[in-house]
Amino acid sequence: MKLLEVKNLKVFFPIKDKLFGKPTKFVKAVNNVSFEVEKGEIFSIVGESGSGKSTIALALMGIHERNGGSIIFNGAEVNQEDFKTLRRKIQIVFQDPDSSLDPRKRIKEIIAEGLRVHRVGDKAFIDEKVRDIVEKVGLTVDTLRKYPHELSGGQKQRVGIARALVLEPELIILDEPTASLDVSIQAQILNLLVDLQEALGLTYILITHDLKLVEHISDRTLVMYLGKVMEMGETKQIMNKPLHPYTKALIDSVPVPNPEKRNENEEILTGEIPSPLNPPEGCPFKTRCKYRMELCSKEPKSIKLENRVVFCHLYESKNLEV
Amino acid sequence: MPLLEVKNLTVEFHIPEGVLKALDGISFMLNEGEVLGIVGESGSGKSTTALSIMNLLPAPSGRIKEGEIFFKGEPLLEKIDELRGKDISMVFQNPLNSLNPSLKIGQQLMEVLQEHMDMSEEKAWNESIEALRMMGIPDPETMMNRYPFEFSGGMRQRAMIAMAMLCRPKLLIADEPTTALDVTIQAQILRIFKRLKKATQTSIIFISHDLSVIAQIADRVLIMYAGKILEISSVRDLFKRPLHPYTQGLLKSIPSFSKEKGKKLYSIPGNVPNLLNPPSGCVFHPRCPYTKEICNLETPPNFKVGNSTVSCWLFKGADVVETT
Repeated sequence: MKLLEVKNLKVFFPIKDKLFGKPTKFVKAVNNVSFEVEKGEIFSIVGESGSGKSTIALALMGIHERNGGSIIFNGAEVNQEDFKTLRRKIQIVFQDPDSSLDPRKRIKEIIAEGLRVHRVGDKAFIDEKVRDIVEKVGLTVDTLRKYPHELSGGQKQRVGIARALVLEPELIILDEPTASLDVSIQAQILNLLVDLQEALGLTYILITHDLKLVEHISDRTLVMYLGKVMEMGETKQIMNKPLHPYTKALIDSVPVPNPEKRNENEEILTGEIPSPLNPPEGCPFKTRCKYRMELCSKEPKSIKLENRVVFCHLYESKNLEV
Repeated sequence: MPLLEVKNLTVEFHIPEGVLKALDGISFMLNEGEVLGIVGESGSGKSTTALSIMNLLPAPSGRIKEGEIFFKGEPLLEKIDELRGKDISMVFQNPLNSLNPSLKIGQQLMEVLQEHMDMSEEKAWNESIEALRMMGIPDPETMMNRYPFEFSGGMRQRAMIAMAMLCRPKLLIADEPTTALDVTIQAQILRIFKRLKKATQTSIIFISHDLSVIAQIADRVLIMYAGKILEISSVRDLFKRPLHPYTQGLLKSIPSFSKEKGKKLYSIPGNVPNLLNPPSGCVFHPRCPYTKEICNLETPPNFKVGNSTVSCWLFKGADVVETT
């Protein structure tokens, strides 16, 4: 069953040259992005910095207003004013628990805040709920009396997860949930997220730059570059046989944890992501793509191929094997 | 003779909460032309090791309490002010913090050559352009006249490496040089380090928390934890048969490309210890799956196993090495 449908989502940020007056330019942070998330799956959005992956997260939370497109949650169209009530159903876990937990509040208040704001139950109910959730994320009840600075990075991230869970949301957006943690703690948090998903039947949107994580944990993946979709499909298929040249380059850039596999001369992607203020016309990846052709100055169409969606002119005629 | 030898180095930080032992008697050496990887989590002491060699520990809180560092067989710290930037140079994680924001890149590069190599302005200009070109910076003549903020993250890191390599140093210390970069840019910077390794005789200390990056660049690896070195191995041995339970745990928790998609990962239980109050005996014993009684009581010495050394009681009975 579809839990979330996003159609032609657009989020633009205005750039002003002068202090007053109309904006002269727009950064098209998310430009015509469509995807669907099934109930109970882990859906990944991958991309490098500036790809627009976090902007999608904030648009799904209603924190960034969208400039176009529609969001359909549980079959109902979501308008900007609906987010206030909808936020109970869609929660987010941020990358850096240091900057997303209020340093002046006790852990108990931090976790209970959502329940209070949404007026869920009385004090006794809230107390019990908070105690219950804090044990579910692997913390002890005496953590509740503490302040964030008294906790380690991993513990703080567990609090972030508890805060998201306490409202019993249907969809949780994980924005780089392990990126700021130590290697030995990352695996703990990942396992916790997997356990919770299985126990509570949660749906995750995982936003990350870490392809190893995506490969390991997610069911389907959306690859983004400069605000646009490059490729989308089942994670396994994408990792085993990427179709889009960008996806392939991205996978090839990940260092392999094996000293026997050191390619000194492998092809690596040259150049850098163009400025989002001035993106290339047509396919945004054309400036770095080795298969670039004249056609690439035109907007690539969405092509359904091998059970996935790919935006690349190479596959329009399907004559070329990558 | 090794290029660099660190012997029994102990570094303390005096902070309001007490005395924190950031390094606790570590010893290692580095050969000429070798790339030594240092792996560790936050608080393991990997950056403190780098700063101690450079004599750049934050004053007045940080100080070397014990131990010696030898460079080409001579005590390093007496001469470090002459050597720093010339024979020993460093690249940091965040290039924006280590470049001067109000000077053009060209000026910053030329300054190094004029200061250390006594070069004429014209020669320094040409050498700097050549250095930028070697790092794959397009159109280096124009870039010389740009300010750091006009460079992208990847280009800044290239400029930093160019600057560090200007005087053809004997030793380059790179502290998490790719951590702040996107993965496609990380691949480009790693490529540069691989080329440096081939083309120059410079020894490199490459610090990273990422074992995959270390697998790609290092010859030998130090595994650090809570101010101690737990294992020293060649990179091949380390990945083929990790000895220390901590190393084994780190390797097992990498979500690997080849593994079947079972969603659970191996994870090391517990937390990184608080250095103000480190565990007794072996620093890793509270999190170790093989803990025995002795682990809690006595710090294990360095045992020699094959060509590696490991500080773990599991290897009791093997030869003990003093310095590694």
